[in-house]
Amino acid sequence: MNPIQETAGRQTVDAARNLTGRAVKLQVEKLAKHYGEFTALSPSSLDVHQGEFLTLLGPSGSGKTTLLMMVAGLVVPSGGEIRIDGRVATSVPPSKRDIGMVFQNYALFPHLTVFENIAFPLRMRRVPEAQIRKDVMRVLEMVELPHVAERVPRALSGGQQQRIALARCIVYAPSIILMDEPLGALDKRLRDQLQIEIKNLHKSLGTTILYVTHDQQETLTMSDRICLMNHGRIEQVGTPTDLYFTPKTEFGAAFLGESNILPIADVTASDGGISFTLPLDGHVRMSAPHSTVAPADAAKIMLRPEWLSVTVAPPQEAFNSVRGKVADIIFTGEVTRYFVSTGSGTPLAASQLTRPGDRAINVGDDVYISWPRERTYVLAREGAAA
Amino acid sequence: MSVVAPPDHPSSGGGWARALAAFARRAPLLPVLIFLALLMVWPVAQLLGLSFFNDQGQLTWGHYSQLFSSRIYVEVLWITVRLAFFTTVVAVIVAYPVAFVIANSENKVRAWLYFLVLIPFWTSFLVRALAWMVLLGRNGTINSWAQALGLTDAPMSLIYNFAGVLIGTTHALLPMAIIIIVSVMENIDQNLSKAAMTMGGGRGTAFWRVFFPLSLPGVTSAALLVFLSALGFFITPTLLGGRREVVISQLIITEIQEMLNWPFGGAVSVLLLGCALVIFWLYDRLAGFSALGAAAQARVAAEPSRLSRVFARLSIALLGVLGRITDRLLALAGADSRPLEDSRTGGRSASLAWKVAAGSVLFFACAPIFIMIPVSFTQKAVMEWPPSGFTFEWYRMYLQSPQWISATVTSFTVAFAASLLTMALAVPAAFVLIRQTVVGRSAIMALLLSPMVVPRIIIAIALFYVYSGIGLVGTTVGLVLGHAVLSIPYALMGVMTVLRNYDERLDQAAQILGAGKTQTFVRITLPLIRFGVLSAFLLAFITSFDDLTVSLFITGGLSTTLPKQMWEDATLQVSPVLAAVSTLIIVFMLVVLALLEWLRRRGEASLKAQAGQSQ
Repeated sequence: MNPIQETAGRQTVDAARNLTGRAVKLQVEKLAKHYGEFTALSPSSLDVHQGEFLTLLGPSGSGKTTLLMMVAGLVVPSGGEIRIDGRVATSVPPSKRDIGMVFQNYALFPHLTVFENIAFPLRMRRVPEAQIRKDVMRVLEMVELPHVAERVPRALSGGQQQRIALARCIVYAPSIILMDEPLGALDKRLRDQLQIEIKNLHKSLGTTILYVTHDQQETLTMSDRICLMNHGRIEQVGTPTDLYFTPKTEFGAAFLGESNILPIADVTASDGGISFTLPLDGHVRMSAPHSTVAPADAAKIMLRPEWLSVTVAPPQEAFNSVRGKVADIIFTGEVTRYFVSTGSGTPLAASQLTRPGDRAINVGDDVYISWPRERTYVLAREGAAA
Repeated sequence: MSVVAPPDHPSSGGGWARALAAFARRAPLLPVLIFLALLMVWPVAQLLGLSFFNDQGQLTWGHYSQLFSSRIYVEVLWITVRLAFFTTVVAVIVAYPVAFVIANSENKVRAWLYFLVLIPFWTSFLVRALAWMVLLGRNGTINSWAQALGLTDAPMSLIYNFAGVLIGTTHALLPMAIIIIVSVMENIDQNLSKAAMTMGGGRGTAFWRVFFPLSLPGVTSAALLVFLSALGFFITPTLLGGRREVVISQLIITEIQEMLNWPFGGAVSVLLLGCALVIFWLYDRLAGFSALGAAAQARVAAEPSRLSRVFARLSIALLGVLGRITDRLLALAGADSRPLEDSRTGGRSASLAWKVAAGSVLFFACAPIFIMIPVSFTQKAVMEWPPSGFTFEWYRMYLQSPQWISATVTSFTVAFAASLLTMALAVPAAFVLIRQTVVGRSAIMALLLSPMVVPRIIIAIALFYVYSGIGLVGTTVGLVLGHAVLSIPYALMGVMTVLRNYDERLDQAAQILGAGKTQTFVRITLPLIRFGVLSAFLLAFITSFDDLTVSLFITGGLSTTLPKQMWEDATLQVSPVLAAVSTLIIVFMLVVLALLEWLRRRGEASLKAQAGQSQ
């Protein structure tokens, strides 16, 4: 890992530590949802702190939107409790929860002008007309669209509509904002831009944000903490670096970022960690000195491609290594990716920063793939006590 | 991910409260279910039950053995089924090219063509049958033109025979067939045919192997509904048929109105309903019910029966052959090199042959209706062709006749009241059906749509029977209730379509932004669906305004409606007053249709506004 990533990671960890000291804004306790026989969400618990940006990440059908919709009050839970500021809100109607929500399709009212769309929550709260005018114009300035006030939503571009949806959400300063894949319908450039805008809004408003997405890049960029979900249950909650470096499950390792996940055999305890063999390359002993997983539970190891070095010469003693043949090399700009097939045919992916004149390794070459022993990250088998 | 609140399974504390809330959310379905149970299921069950008992109230098969012992009844049944069968075949075959051209036209043209189908669709069967009398009669339009052109010397007998009835019923049911087939064709992805052509299929192969099989659910559901409607038809056969074209509904009417033989009428009704059910069953075996109402999407039944699998294999082989033949023919005609994409129409276009076929069918569907207009100004005392001279006499007679005026007023009053009642029942039900999951949903839908499927004549007699026991015959209230039964399916489908296209997230957004349920409905939902709701109201209005069958039995004296008054006049003497009244009705229908079309466009614009946002 390069030093820049290291520091960035540390900063996020620090930020999260500060947050855990704050009050719990939203508390979800054993919340569950069944549709007949189908379980959309198994009983799940989650705390969101004041001012935190927490992302629910997972593939479609993982239960993240169901969880969000129950927090919003739009889906009735089958069991469990929701508390906002410590008060039970499970059966409070959505209009009384002091929450805001940004929908994926924006849900702007097509028959109302932009101004009336943004004024809607204020009118519902019987804010005086003069104040409404002031507030609407203020948020329109914030999203840099003061000139579209009298237009109808369909006259705006997708990015503009999304900004208006944001404006409508922040105009009444709800204490929690829920976002359901708000950038899903936008193209990449616009998405990158709005990610930063949302992040800045979050900083300047200090609002608690619960964000749903299936885009891992978006998650890593924006979140204080991530709640990783799969098959209607929470897999892991942690900072982006926690999830990236120490995933609890194979699903987590595979879903967030790229990874090589390899089964291991003949596991024994050794020097504070474990030692094992990789069935894909003979029976050379390897070790994972920092692993906390009990030898009996150790099933697989995870190696991020950027942890791996590809060399023609054999690596030093302190490294675990596998022999293989380069099957493909892809140059993507700052990073060059190597696909190496090992003895048993299992391919390994490695990526290295591109250096000028880097022509030492070619397709078909016999190479060593190596990584520092302490980087060997061991995954426990499914169902093992964590 | 679905956001609709489904049935909740109370698992922990507060289970009762949750169950109660879940029930309360579905409660708006109850009024319409109770209404139809009382005014549709119960009366029809009673009528059918009658047929199994004799005068002493003992169980008997007597009425049925009477039914099958006489050749007359079996013959009438045979005539009815034969008429329904040929009507179905002809209607579906001629409907197909029209539907094809409509579905493959660009939006503006499509709207106009569709409008041309809606004109005959909403013009009453009665007016159309009268038009055919003028067209096909001995001194009718066709005979007088044929003679003028020297094609024949003596007038041909075009009317009062099987051919006349077949023309009339086909014309009556054709628009429905077109509408159903279009609804399926519109959902076929235009790119599929193009994809077939990129893979080496010719135009003919692309049509027969890709487009045609995908349009089949539309063809089969159109066939089913045309057949069922034709089975219960009596207006056209009575007016255009001869002595040998008596159909089963006429038999029921005679038994009940003239012989007052209720049990026997009931037995004949069972026979009619039985025929309808057999057809349904056959349809389910061959096409599967998923195809019906799949207007929405052409789904293949999950587990095809062996019969339908054999059928499917045979048809694939046949379609392949048809495709090759068509490709050859097109190549011979040099028409296979037409460019795939016509940029003007966005790739949607049908070839000339289709257009000519569709144009002639549309002419056949629309032109006869307007024949009534010139006839209404004739100076002759009979409805004949050609009209001679020009007079407002018949309009004057209409306006000065207290009977006609009272019938007109009744028709409007009843239609207005019936459609209000219909909407009050259908709108809440539509909301529940679209937004909640409901246990026994398909059974509920079957009940709600049953007034469209059960032959109307049976509903009419059943209501007559029940009403006579409680003094509702001849009352406006009775008529309003009866017409509401008939209108519910149309209004319900109309409102459900609007709601299906409504993005519920708008309501959720409003609630999160602080609006209560009522405010959400008034400020967001209603403004966005009002055009759709209004057009559903108009559909209900026309259904009631146009109804003859129910009115025929349960009105009398002052409560007579316009169609009933026309029917009585038509069966006694055919005076040009009928042409005048028909003309007025046609003009009124055109106004309503234009209004509907305007509403549809407004509604589409507001739905499009929603759709545009979610891009």
